[in-house]
Amino acid sequence: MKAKVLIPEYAAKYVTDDFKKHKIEIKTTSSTQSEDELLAKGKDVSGAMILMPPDGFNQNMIDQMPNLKVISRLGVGYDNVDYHYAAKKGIVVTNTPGANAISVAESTVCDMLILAKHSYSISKAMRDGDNDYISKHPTSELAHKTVGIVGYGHIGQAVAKMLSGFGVKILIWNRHQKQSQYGKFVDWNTLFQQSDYISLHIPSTSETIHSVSRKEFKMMKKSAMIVNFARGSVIDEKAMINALKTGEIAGAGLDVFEKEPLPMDSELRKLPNVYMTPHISAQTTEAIEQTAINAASEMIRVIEGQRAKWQVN
Amino acid sequence: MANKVLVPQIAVPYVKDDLAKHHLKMISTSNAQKADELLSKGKDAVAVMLLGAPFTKDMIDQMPNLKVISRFGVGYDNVDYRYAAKKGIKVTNTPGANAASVAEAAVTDILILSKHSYSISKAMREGDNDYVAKHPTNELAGKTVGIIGFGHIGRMVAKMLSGFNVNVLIWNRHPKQSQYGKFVDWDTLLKQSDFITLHVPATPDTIHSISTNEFKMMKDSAHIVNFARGSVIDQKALVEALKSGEIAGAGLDVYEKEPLPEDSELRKLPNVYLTPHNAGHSYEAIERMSTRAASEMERVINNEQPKWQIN
Repeated sequence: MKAKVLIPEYAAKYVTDDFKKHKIEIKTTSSTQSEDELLAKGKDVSGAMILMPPDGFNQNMIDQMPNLKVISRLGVGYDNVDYHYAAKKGIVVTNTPGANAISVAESTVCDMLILAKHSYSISKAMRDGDNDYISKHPTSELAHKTVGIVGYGHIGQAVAKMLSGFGVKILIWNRHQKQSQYGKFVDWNTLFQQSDYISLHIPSTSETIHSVSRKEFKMMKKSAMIVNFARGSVIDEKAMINALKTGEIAGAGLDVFEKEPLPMDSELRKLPNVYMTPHISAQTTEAIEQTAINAASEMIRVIEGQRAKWQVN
Repeated sequence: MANKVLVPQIAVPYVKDDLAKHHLKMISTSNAQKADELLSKGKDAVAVMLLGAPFTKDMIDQMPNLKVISRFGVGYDNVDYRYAAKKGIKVTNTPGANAASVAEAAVTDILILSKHSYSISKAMREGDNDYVAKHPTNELAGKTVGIIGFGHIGRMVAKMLSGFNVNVLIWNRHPKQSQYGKFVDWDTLLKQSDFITLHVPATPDTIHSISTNEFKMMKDSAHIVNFARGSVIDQKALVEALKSGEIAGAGLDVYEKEPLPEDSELRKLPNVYLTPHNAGHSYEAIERMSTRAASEMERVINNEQPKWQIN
């Protein structure tokens, strides 16, 4: 009997031929991938390629898929997969490190520029017929400012490189200090105190969850902005909303949130100094193709009894 | 009697002390600087610091004491600088003072277009998180960016892009050398670029230099970004190219008519990202332009040679 795999529809066109070549049958899912959908379509699958299922990939799902050998994350973070439990059951969990790093890093720099230049609000005001918004909201140059990069993996490094032509000063914090031609490694407090823009590029782990909270916002300059393309849980969202409302910090550029999709009644939506996107920075055509190809190759490897390249559990 | 100088509101905080030190009597004007206002406040002024409003022959004739028109900014197509020269009036500008701001804004637009950032964020605020599924975004990495005009601003754009792994093509009236890109001819730049950004002044040679023929040469997937002057693009041809899919999108800070009329077709197009000619107006650039434009006025009034006379 052919092995079956679940993959999201939008990844199908990049990987269908590959699976066919390996005689693996594809069942496509929506991009949402709710628990109900995954279980209805794939109780008998050997592999599941997953995005950001709203219910995660939990113990119950693992228990109901007895043939499962591999859970392959399209992307880097795997905090939505119960990877410890999967390991216990002998199921390999993989991710695709680096495949979307450039896309995420470009979006990060884009957000910094949008925040510096109030680009969203100015364009919206102009479309609404108010050309005078600019005189009440002067913009800033990024040049000569200090940018703090928290986390220096693939994405943090790409951000530093992209900023190298802008004449900014770069500070870097990383769990393990490294070397970089683009910036200076500093301690946590120094980075938060001195930066005009702070960009988060750390995974969501027990050590990093809510690691940016009241204390950090208090340390930040009142004129400083925070950008988050890591995971919503890294920031204590309640503390951030408070900091944004009281003027403790000047603004935020957010692609990720504690709860996704961001609830319609979230206070973040009401704040004028927040620029938001719905966790889409990694969803460029180029990144989708590369993550799909990498995730599929991991599934094929595990299903055929080979060692995965990017196993995380 | 102290010499009277007209200064737009935006510059006042940065220059009032310095002008006072030079015993000049500062009269502040609105930022609109319509002819009526300037003439009623300052027929007898010796100097005007000018934003983008027209400064005509007629105004020059009505200000007999005028010695210097000091442009706050770079372009001086709004000043009748030839007639001013005939009357012995110096026209100056502040080259480079807002170059970093404008260059950063051009790169911002390139990134926004490549990622549909504006539309995606707007859709999300309206409750649609799925916009991206119907409007795939792109990486900038690996793409070709064409820079037209390699003065202060064009050079800074090239430098800013150096960390993005893009292929930079450059057209300039006089080809130069650059470590950041390759000088090519006009047609090659238009045909090969995925993003084209304009950094040429408005002159008889450049006005409408981007028109039907250029849009036809561009890739269907290409975007154009204009932070130069609206007149450099034939706006009617641009609207046509955007509507017919001859090009994919545009990021515009400048227009043939400013402010952009409410009924402009550009406002109705979903593939246009608009800002109201504000790229050069960051805090930092405003301060630099203000202080430099003031020092040019002071130099001319003190019979010294200005640094950036353009006529």
